[in-house]
Amino acid sequence: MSQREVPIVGREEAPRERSDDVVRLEGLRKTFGGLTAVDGVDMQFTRGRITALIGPNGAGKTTIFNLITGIIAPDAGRIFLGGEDITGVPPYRIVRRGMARSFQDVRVFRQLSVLQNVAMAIPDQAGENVLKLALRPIHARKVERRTLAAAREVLDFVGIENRAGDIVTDLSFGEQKLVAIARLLATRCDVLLLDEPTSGVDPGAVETVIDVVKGLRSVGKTICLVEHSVHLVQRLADHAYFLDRGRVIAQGTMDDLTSQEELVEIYFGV
Amino acid sequence: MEYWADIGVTILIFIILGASLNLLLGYAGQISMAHAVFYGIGAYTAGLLSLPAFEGVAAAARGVTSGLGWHWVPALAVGIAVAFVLALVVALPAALRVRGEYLILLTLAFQIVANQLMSSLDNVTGGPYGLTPIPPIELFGQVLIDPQKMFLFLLVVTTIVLAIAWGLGESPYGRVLKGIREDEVAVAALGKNTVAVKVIIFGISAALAGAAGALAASYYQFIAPGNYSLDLSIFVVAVVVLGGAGNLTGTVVGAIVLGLLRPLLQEIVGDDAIAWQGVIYGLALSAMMYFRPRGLVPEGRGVTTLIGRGFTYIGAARAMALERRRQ
Amino acid sequence: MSLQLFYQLLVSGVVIGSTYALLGVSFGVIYSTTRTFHLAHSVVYALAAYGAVVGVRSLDLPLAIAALLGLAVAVITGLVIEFIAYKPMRARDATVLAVFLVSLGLTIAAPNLLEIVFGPENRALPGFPIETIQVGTVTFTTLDVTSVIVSWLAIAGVLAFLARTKYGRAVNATRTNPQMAMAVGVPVQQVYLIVFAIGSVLAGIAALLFTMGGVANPTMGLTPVLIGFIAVFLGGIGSTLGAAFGGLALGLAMSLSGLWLTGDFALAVVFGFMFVLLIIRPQGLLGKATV
Repeated sequence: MSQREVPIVGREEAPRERSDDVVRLEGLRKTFGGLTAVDGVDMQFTRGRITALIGPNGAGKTTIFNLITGIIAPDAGRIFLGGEDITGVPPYRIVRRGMARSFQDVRVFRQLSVLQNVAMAIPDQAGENVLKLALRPIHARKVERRTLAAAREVLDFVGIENRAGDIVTDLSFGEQKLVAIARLLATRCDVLLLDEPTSGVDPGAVETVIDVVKGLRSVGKTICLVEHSVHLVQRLADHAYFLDRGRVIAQGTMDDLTSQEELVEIYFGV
Repeated sequence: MEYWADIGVTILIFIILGASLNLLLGYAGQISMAHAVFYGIGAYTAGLLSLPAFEGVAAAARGVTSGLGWHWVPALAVGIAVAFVLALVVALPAALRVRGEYLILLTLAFQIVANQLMSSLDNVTGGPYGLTPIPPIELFGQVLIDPQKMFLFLLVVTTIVLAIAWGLGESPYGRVLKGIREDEVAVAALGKNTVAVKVIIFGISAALAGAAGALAASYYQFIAPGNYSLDLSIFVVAVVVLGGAGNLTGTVVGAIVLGLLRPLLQEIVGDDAIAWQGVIYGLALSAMMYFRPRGLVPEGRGVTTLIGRGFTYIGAARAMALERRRQ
Repeated sequence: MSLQLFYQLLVSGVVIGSTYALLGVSFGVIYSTTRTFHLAHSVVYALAAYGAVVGVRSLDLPLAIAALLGLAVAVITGLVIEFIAYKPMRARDATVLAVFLVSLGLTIAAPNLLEIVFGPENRALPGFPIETIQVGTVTFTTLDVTSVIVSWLAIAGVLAFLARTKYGRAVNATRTNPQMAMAVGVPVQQVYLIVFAIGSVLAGIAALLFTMGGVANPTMGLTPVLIGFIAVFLGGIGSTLGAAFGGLALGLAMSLSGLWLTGDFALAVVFGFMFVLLIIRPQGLLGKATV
């Protein structure tokens, strides 16, 4: 597949600092009842690189995503985005600061169309504010036209623009995942967290996803990926953290990690 | 003619209540059991403000309830404002939580307590017998006491309310509402402040209901707690659900059907009309949701689909009956 | 504040509170296990009372048999609603809102149907020997004593069932973690039927106790169920004993509020209390915080 144009514009509220460690986790801990899901985790996600989180089920990968996006609060530790401490910041504000995630269980808006799903993610829409809608309706209408056009661009980039008018519930699971990725892209965030973007997706769509993610890397996005498929992670990840039972037990390139037998054993439970 | 115009007024009020609740329940998926009491808050506020000073008579004969003698327009405005603000206060604690049951309980509690207060705060509200006479609306030299005149006036108001509801519902703001209905966490994950959105739509919904209350009070010239009870809240929920979530046309049809139900039933069963009405719309509500278990009906379906399905079933039944007769 | 009035209200509070405790447990056991907002529990309540009334009035049954008839009607109604309404909806992945609205529809239709069939008048359930007892300055009736005893016996029975029997443990497992319970082989469908049966019987008992001293009328079911819910909520969802004590606390609060407020305020007090609690401590007084 050919290299595609990535429609990228930065977000207004993104932090100023331009160090390359865009996301930094320090000493992150989370316990649920008696179970320690995340146990003193330190990590960095770097600009223009794809970082993967791999490990057996229950290792804490999705919990880490939930922690850094503010859905749950850590028991200990700090999270830094662009140098600023975002621990405790509510989820919607973290998105406005430039970090967004997709969900393992997709969570697209099933009764809405593909276009509406993606349009909702576009930031700074005047029409979403009741006062602006009431006082400046023409301006709001203009912004909406721009929003829908931008949404179509994203859909085109991901390759499903032809389904723009379809209701999401009519799409296959793989297509719904593409909608979710398009929606994530549309947030214009610099930091993108993808939670199992290819699980349950047919091979053709997987290739699309790989292309999309590579394209995002090439324009300087900071990407973190949770994936089960070692093969996929090998193709995409520049750096990986191997997690087991809430701890980082190894990190490095995929070649480093796959050459260590103990890790393979843990991963496959052999 | 007057009889039907009066029914028409009732139907228009149901439409306004239905459309305003549809924004909250249909578009945003937030369950409120308190819509009737906000309708009442608008009525009481505007009513108390517009009662003539020292001349209004509380029917409880405990003395006189005196109003401020305001003109109906500022009274209406304040009625809307009070309903709006109270709604914000009620909605906020529930908005902070995602589980739907909190809002059901919170609004249920508010409905019952506020309705009780309408009855119990005798000195202010005139107690269980209410307040009367509320001055009618005067517009362009016309006093809107006749059903026909009020009907025309309300027709304009209803059109405005429907326009507001449609304008909000089909806008980017409405898109966010629908997103919240589908998956609130996912909407927050796109950078939207869902708490603020939920609180505000609750406020707007209540404000529109309050407006209806103020206007209705000046037509009936009478306000009593019994008119703003849980029964009415539930009835409006039924109108919205039967008409179809996020479907304003459906709300209009639903309000007309349910509004005509009682007068029609009166012809058929006489005194039992109210009870039969309850049985019918209760079962219709259950049946409707039963066949749409994944949540409120998406746009474009509702009473119209039910009617269409009805014809399909009838057609199928007839076909089957014909088949059987042939054998 | 008169001390005599206080004692009297205290005793009434315990009597009312015991019935509320029963209602709380009846609603709570269903809600905490199935997470269904079973507003139609009000239908079960009302039908139990009407079942007994029909038994005494039309079938000339002795009160005890009529009471059993009422309970049978209650259980059947509860099970039918679960089987025909909730179970299929669950199978089709219904939302909380959808199930609630189905239940709401039934809650609207049933009292109206009762009114059409039986008329709106109040109907008494005669036959219980009601005599007044006086202890000091406090008066109460034999029915009051019976209510208290029966209510707490029934609650104790439920607690014993949950703790000691195989099915009771299955219920507990389902309550705590439905997915795990299913995975481990607990027959969740049967568990649901069991809790609906238990909840309906308890509601029926509460309805009968009430009607024997009062009257049955078509709209009698909603308020008790709402109170039952508040009791569950006060005590923390998932705690049977919590629901019982929640109900007791509510009864006492309602009764004692009579020291300062007139009677018609009582319900508003209860709901006002819940309103405030929902805001400050949504997990209930004894419950654990959940998202």
